[in-house]
Amino acid sequence: MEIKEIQDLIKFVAKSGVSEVSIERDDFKITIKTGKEQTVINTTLPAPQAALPPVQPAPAPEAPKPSAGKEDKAEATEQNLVTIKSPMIGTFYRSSSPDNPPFVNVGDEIRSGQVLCIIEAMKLFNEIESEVAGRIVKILAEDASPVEYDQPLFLVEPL
Amino acid sequence: MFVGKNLITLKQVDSTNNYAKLLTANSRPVPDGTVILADTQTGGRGQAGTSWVSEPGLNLTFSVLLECGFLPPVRQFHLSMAVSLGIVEALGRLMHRMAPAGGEDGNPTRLPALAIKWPNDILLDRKKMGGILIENLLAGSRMKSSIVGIGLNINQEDFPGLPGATSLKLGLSGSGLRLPPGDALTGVSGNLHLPAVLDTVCHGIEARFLQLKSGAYDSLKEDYLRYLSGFGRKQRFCRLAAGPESGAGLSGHSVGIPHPREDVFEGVIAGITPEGKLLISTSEGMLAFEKKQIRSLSGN
Repeated sequence: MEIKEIQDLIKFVAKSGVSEVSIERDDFKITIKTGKEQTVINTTLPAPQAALPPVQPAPAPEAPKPSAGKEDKAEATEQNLVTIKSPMIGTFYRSSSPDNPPFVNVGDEIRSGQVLCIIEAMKLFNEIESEVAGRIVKILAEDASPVEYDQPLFLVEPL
Repeated sequence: MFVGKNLITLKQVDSTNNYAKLLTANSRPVPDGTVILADTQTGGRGQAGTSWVSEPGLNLTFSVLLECGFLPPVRQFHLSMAVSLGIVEALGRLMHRMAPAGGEDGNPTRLPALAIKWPNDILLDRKKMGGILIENLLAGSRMKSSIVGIGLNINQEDFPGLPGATSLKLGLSGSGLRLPPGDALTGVSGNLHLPAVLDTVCHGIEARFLQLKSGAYDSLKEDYLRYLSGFGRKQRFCRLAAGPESGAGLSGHSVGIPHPREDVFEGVIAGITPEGKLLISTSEGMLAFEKKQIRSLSGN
């Protein structure tokens, strides 16, 4: 796949409104995930092509510009992100009831000890508090969907 | 005894669990085992948004705060088992205390049957007498505290529109049991004395909670299974559709809808998985089900 094709594909996926697209061929695999605030691209290219220049994430519609455009700085931030994982099997809820607003949204600043979500299993309701202060970069599970043990739920940028 | 040593009694509250949550959110630490008791609970929750119907002053609606830092999150169903076991055992002790006064003609009386309906409803003679709703607070992946909300029907005698509901008093009178006159359990007007029942139930919960704390997971589960309604008995089940959008457990979310006829099957409850799923032995082998995936068709 040519870079141009990948770029076109990213644009297409961003516009389409779907949250994730995966394409897999014999020697090639690409996954494009879109969030409201950012777009994440994971590619697995065969060895000979591994030297290709890094793919620039295409900004999702209405996405705020990543920190002042400095490429290496953005990369450093990515590495510092804290992943909050599910401590159990259950159902992931972003709010305490469907009538209530979500505990947190992407972009929210959170403090340590703040409730992020509820995981319900067998009539046990678990409020999960953050152990870090920071900003929610991405929410990785769908509201009211089943989650596995250790499944990543949130990406948090520590502040 | 630490469960109930610190007792907070409220005239009326939306939910004792919510009150307990606010209490723990305050900076002053709340003693382990604190019980919050309400005469009237206006927003009590049951499963899948069914509200808990309770006449003021007749029943026990309370929450117990328990420090659970010792419990790995993946073991939390054992907390649910410990609490339901503690409750049925306490109720069993209460009934035994009444039994001598019971038999009208001196014959030994049959005590109403206590059972636990998976995962944790309290049954008395196959009717629902109580429910439990547990809310845990976790710091990341570490358990901090548990708020165990308990509703037990004690003296209520009318359950309009709820044929499957009962109370301790109804169950006892159905068995011809009468309270011994002058007993501490007898309150005014022939009702059970709620503080005495609460005290016994707190004792029961504490005993099983301490067992949980000691890590005796296997014996807890073994004892739970002895009380589990339908355990080892062949019965019919219905598989429920529980897609991500349908099978939600929070109040207001819709519950699973039954599949077509062919999803009715026969099986025997054989146990539970460590995370609390129901194990059913069927012609297709051993299957594990979550709460929203299955319903028994044999009543309780």
